[in-house]
Amino acid sequence: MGIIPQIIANSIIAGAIYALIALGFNLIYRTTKFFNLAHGALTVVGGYAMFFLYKELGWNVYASAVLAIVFAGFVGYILDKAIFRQLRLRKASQMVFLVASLGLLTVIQAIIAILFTSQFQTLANNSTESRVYTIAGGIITQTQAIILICGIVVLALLTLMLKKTMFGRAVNAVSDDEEVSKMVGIHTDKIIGWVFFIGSAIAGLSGILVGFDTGLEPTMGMHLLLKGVIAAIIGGVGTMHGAFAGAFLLGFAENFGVWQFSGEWKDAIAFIILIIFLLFRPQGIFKK
Amino acid sequence: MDKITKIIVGVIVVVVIIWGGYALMGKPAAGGTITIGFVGPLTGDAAVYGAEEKNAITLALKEINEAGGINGKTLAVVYEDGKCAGKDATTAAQKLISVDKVKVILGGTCSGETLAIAPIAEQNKVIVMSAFSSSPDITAAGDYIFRNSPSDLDVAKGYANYIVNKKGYKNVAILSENTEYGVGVRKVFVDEMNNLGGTVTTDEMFKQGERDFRGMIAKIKAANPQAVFVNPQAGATGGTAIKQIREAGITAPIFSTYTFGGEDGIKAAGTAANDVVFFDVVGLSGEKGKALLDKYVPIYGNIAGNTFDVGARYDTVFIIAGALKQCGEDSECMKDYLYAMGNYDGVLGSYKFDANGDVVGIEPMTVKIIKDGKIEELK
Amino acid sequence: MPYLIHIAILFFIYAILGVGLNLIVGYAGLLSVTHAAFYGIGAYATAVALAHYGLGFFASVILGIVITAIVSLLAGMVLSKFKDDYYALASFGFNVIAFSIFLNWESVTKGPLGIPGIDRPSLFGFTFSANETFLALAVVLFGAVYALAHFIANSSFGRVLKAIREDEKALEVFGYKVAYFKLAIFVIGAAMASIAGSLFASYITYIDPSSFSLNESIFILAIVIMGGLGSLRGTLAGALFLILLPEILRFVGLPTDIAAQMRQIIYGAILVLLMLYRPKGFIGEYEVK
Repeated sequence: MGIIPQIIANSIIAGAIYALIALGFNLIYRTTKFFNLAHGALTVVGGYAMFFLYKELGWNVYASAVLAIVFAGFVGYILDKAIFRQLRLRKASQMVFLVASLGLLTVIQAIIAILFTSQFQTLANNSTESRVYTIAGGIITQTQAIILICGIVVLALLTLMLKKTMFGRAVNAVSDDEEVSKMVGIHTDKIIGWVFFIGSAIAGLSGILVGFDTGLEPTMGMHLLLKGVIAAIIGGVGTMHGAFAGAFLLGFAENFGVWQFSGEWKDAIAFIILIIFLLFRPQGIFKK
Repeated sequence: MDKITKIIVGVIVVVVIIWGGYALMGKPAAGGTITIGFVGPLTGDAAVYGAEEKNAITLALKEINEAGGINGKTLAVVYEDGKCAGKDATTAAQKLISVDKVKVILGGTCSGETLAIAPIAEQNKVIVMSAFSSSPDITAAGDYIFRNSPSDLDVAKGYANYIVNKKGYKNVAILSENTEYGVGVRKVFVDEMNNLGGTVTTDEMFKQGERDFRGMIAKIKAANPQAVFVNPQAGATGGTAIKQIREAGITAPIFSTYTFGGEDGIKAAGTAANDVVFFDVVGLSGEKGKALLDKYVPIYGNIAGNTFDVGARYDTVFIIAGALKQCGEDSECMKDYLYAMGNYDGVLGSYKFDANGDVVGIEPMTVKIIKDGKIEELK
Repeated sequence: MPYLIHIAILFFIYAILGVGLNLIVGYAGLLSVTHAAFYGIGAYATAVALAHYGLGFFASVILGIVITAIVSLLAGMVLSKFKDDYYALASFGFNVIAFSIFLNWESVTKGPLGIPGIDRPSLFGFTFSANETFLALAVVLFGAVYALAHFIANSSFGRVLKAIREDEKALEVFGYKVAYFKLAIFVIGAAMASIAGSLFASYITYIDPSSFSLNESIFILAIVIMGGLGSLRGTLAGALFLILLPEILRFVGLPTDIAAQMRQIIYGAILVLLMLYRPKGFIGEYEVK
């Protein structure tokens, strides 16, 4: 029986990472209604910005993290301003956005690979052992605990923002109907710009945390993104707590799947879960 | 077609014509140069190995050419990117054979590359010499195919033997990467474990480049093995797995293979790398090996991929140079020379090729241990 | 010359793949990103049939088509429940699942070790071992596939597909069983991919799962989009461009570590630029609106 608490712990850890990505992705999706594959690239941007500041320049870890997160948000904002806004102007279809974001993901990953080489890098300070905590029979490391806490904090902040602030209400309005929002006088482009900034900043944060936990590679964006998207969809795309729930469900499914079957099928399990949900409950766990 | 389309089509046509003409004419052969080819992963997941093989070749070329080259002619290498994939390796080999007109290809690095190149090389009577491919399938790949890297078959048996007989661990868990190398080693290791009367407590496989091993590690921990054998293809992957094994609280000794034992692996594992014992296929520990390291490291830094690979590739250049000196670019003559070659004293030790082009005479392994981030030999 | 022949053979293989996908994406409007899975089934069917059972190449092509048809029928039925982005995402899923099967079903596919030693095709005693003859075979098969695609595109079946793409609801009102049409074209496109796979396996004589990953599906999709959805000639231009691009870069002489990344940058940038300024692709008819 001793293995189950650890499997649960592993599921929670995996879920926490997916949750962060899903939250950022979800925020952008509910507002702009398109699948932004470039979101994956922003995790890499955040992670490597942190690598540059913290490991190569040797700056303080907290300052580097904040700067890296802001930088990722900024890059996301620029992408929106330069490219996605043009597409929105032309009322481009889903396919166009998808393909364009795919192109951006490819370009950004390649640029980072040129700047930092495709070698594996780790943000962690490997000369000291990582601190581990044992909770109810399951072991998690300090980094993983931080990931979990960040996920909860981000969820809380986002929910608060969307419900309580003026900005949040504007975001909701734009999500519901962009046209009407414009008519009512909301600066939709500006709001969307900020949404991209926030969403991309969250992505950057995810990248940094993953960098500490398992390391950085320029190509990690796509894989993280796919898991995040699956989490967002099965949770109920567009809702914040949906993204959170979906992420943990995915984490559990994967880890219990690995326990019962074998490690090689992990990715396939994730997609099978997705397809099952799409077939039988496409609106996800939490309806919007 | 509208204007833009015409322009685009026109550009494509022009490019094709220019490049086609260039390819057809081929490069003018420099009278005093002998050109051979290289196919290896210069980009992609395995790029570290390809890049370091390229460094080893550069070093070897310099020495050969400074010593008079091949009977007065300069030896030159054209490098092509095989990307550790059959399709790309084939394209690379095709280009080398028909455009650069090489009669020797140093490559592939990955077994997939070597296996894909083999048929074209055989057809065109081009010598192929790999320094790192270990798939058992290469043994029968062709008359012109050689390698100074041992087949997985020989090596993995040694691993099982060491763990069970020398160290006395009968219950062992194995964690393998689901790639050509990992799968090859796993099969032989598990078979040999059973032959020796040991038990494989857990047999898990992970996909290439996996970063989250915790589920599999939980299973390993539950079965309480006496030792854990981590069998990766890339150092970073293996290192991450080892780190997570220790994080999970498993204290059993960890064994791994030479794919882990480079800088990438040690960096990824962090403090967990301490006391990990890994099997290196013959260290660059002999005199010649140390001399190579003394030359290599100041220029290219520490070897992040694999020291055997670097050493083996370095040797192959000299071996081929020997064949070229004897035969010129007559590949049939070179082929016979290689089969008949007596013991070659290289960086890897003293060895030659058997009737299949496989290497004979290299110790299947030496055992090393990591202490405080440094690799040391374990006697 | 042999180098050009090699490139030409790859071109025709990718042209077949592109044409099949164009029928699905360009004509019927189904954003399928799992084409490499069917490519893989065809390749493995040929590989196993030739290397292990000594079957002939052409028999293996038929075998590949049959297996692919069954699998794509099932996949198509599941996918037909989805639209647009969800369709794309679910199709990603199929590719990942198919890839996992190629990688893990070791008893059949030998997993990552791959299947070496696949013979070249032979017909009535003549073996296509020389690349020149193989090129001829590739051209013939391509011609057949292209002719079929052209026929479909210009037939009433093709017109219905285009109408579905433009306005599915309207067609349903008129009594057309839209689902059947979409399924039919999906299976046809998949079968074409299978043929390309068989050619690929017999040409390179060695296959492993890495050629049939999600990245490959995205590459084939890029060929179709760049060339222009709904235009078969466009797909040829797209295939030509994307096959030649890495070869040209090879000759430009960039340091090789940078070269591959440069290729990715150019490739990604073109996708973005096309979407911004010319969503029709090089010679497109269907404006990706």
